[in-house]
Amino acid sequence: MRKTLLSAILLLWAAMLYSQDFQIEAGSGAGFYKMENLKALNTYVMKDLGFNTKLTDDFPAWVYFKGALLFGTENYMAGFALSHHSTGSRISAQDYSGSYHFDNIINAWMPGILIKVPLGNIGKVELEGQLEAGFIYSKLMSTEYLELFDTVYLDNTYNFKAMNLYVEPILKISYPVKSFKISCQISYMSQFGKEGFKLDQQGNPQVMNPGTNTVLKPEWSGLRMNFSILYPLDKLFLPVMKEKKGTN
Amino acid sequence: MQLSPVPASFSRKIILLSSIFILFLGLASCEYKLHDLYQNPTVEGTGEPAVNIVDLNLDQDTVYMYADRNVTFRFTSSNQEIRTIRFLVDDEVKDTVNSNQGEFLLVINDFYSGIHDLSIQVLTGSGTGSIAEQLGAEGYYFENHWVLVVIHNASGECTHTAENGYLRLNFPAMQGHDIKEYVIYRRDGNSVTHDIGHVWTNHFIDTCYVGEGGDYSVHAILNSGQDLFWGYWMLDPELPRLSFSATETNQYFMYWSRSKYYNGIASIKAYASKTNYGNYDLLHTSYSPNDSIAFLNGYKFGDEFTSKIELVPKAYSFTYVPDYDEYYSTYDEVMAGYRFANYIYVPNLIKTAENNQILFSDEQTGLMKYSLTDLTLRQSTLYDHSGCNVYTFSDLCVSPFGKFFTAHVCDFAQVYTASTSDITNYHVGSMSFLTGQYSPDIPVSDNHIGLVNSVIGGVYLYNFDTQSVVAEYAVNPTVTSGVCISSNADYVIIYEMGIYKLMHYSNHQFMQLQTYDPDNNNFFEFSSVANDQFSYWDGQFLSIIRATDQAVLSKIDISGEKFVAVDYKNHEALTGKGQHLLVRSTDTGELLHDVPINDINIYNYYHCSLSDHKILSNKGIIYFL
Repeated sequence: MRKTLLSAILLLWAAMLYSQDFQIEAGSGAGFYKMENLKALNTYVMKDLGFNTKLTDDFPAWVYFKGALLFGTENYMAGFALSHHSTGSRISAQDYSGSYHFDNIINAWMPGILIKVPLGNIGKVELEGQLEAGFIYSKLMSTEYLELFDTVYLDNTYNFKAMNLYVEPILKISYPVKSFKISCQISYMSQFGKEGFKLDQQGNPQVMNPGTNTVLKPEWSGLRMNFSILYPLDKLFLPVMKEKKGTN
Repeated sequence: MQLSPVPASFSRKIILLSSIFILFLGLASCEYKLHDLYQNPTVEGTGEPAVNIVDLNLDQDTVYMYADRNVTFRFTSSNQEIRTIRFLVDDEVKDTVNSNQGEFLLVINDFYSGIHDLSIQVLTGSGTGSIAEQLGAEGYYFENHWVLVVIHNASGECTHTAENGYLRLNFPAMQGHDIKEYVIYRRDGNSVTHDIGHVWTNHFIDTCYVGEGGDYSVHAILNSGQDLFWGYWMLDPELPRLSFSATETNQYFMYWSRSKYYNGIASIKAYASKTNYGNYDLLHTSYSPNDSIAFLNGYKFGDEFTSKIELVPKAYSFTYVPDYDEYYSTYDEVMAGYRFANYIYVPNLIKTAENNQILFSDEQTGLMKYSLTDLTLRQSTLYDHSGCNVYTFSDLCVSPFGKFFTAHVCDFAQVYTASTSDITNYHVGSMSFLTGQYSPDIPVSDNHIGLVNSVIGGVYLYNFDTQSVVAEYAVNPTVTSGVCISSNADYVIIYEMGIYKLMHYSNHQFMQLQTYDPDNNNFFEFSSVANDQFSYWDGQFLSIIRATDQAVLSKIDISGEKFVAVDYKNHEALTGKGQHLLVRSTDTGELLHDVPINDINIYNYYHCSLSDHKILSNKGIIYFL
């Protein structure tokens, strides 16, 4: 898969040399994440604790950001994308006698490549299809803390890392406003790869999830809804070129 | 100076770069934000509860533990839930029960015998519902202590005694339990354990024990029916000591000491066997503890045999058949005769000394001086010195009148010499400067002059008092050796070139007086009563000769008999012939005593001597003439 992606990037780079249109896209949206494996860990931890706690966060949907650089023709565009996703969980309790929390914050950087094709127009509204694929670099920070009557009994923090792959088909609706193009898109991201979390050190084995007796791993698959703005780069640089011509 | 307007292309680039910067700033700061900690609801506590004991089978402040013990418990609390009950022994948590009731097993092997502290802690909640309460870190705590006395068993205090002729087994009473009874067990030769009695006191009388040794044990039976091992005894055999002796009329008898457990004995059977561990002949059966002697008829001086007594116990109430009567028997390997030496084989010759005493040695006691007058050991000594691995006195020689003696000690390396009046006041030294590697016996005179044979030939007269060579005879040194020396050291018998020579020593000069050329069997010995007399056996005749003029004072024909010894004082000679020891007059040859024997080794192989009308065998026995 990695070799395929690298080959595609090289092809894209070659195609870029013959491109006529360049666009930059920035947007944000809501990401829903599966994270069943990590949720099972939380269930296990809650059962294992000898006192009442509450799961106040359980890997909910969270804002994600995404940027892309596209190039190509009116009928075909390709490009690079980079997005950042984050979510987390917390099991906690606090009262006069002490406090306990078991926090998991998981972040992921997802660099990828994309292909976009127009599907049709309804007036000024453009319907586009987009396919995106890339890497998922996940980082999990897990913290457990217990304090009773000003005595800290637990204060452990672990950082884990994992790398996997994704594919994301996207349906996009765009509407031009002056020199910008405003887009709404909906997609589903599927994660591939079975690599589980490892301690943030080389050579460490994968961490086991006692709740499932499987490898502890991220699961970023889920629905994405996004709002973005596109701006054609040729419009950004064209006046400069015209100004230069005018001075001549 | 006039400022020029900023170009539109420059503004667009700034917008583009700012957008990219803001985009990545947004990407980097969009990490998930966790909610605040959940606030656990708590309530105000309801105060200290009252904990009550509903059931606890530790009803005494002191708990005796003889076996694994199950502690059952149930507590109640007035207004707080009992969360945990902990059992601690010597402040170490042994068990924790997260309930208000249950049971706890005290395992006796977890504790050494002695006194321990047992405590039970009851922990209740605080009633607040706090995290600390839920984790058991907040609540109310109740504790009670017991003295735990752990006794694995009382074997260390189990003793036994003899009481009124019976075995009495004593054991300490078990404390802290309702004892129903104690059961006494005994293991038989087949390792089968038998119940031999039930008692309510802490002792037991075994009326059938005779001292044969045995394994006993006692169990305590509680009212609850629990059977607890309480102690054991491993009794070593304490059978009567069997001895053998003879009267001065040469009647042989065996006798035994009185048993401590005489009332447990039904009878004692006395046996003898002429073959070791063969068939035994029953000699006598004793039914009374006062009857402890059995005479042996038909046994002759020097006969070797095995004597045995077998104790027949009174029968047990159960079927108890010992597999081997060895448990009830004691043996003694003996030789018929009056025993004067502990060791059955006396390796050295028995030598007569002055004052009607004899010297002999064995490997256990060393050198001994024994009185033939009162038949008692007068003195003994061991030469136990560093550097000496062998303590035996070898090559014992006593002067003719019995005043001095010589012997080898330290495995022939040293010569030990002393007066027979005090055998411990000795002088020890090496004679190798005269004898070389050769260690011949050294005949000694009554003025403490030794007749020392040299390894290179020649004979020395050596004064042990001055530790100097008095004289040397070396006419034909390689074929000359000294045989014996007279009481005053003025006469010696020297063997030279196949001929025995009577030599007179005076003024540092040796003078040959007579020569003797006997058969292979011959014997020379200077008299113990007259300085200038010696006996001479040539294989046929035994003569008493006066050295001064070589006059034969007496001569008896003992041809066909083996010469054994002469008692100069009583003018008697001991010979052996067939199954007879014969005592003849050295004056007339008259047969004075005919001692029948079965074993001719008594004179053929073992050595005998004759003194004070007694035949002494170096097997350690005496025959009274």
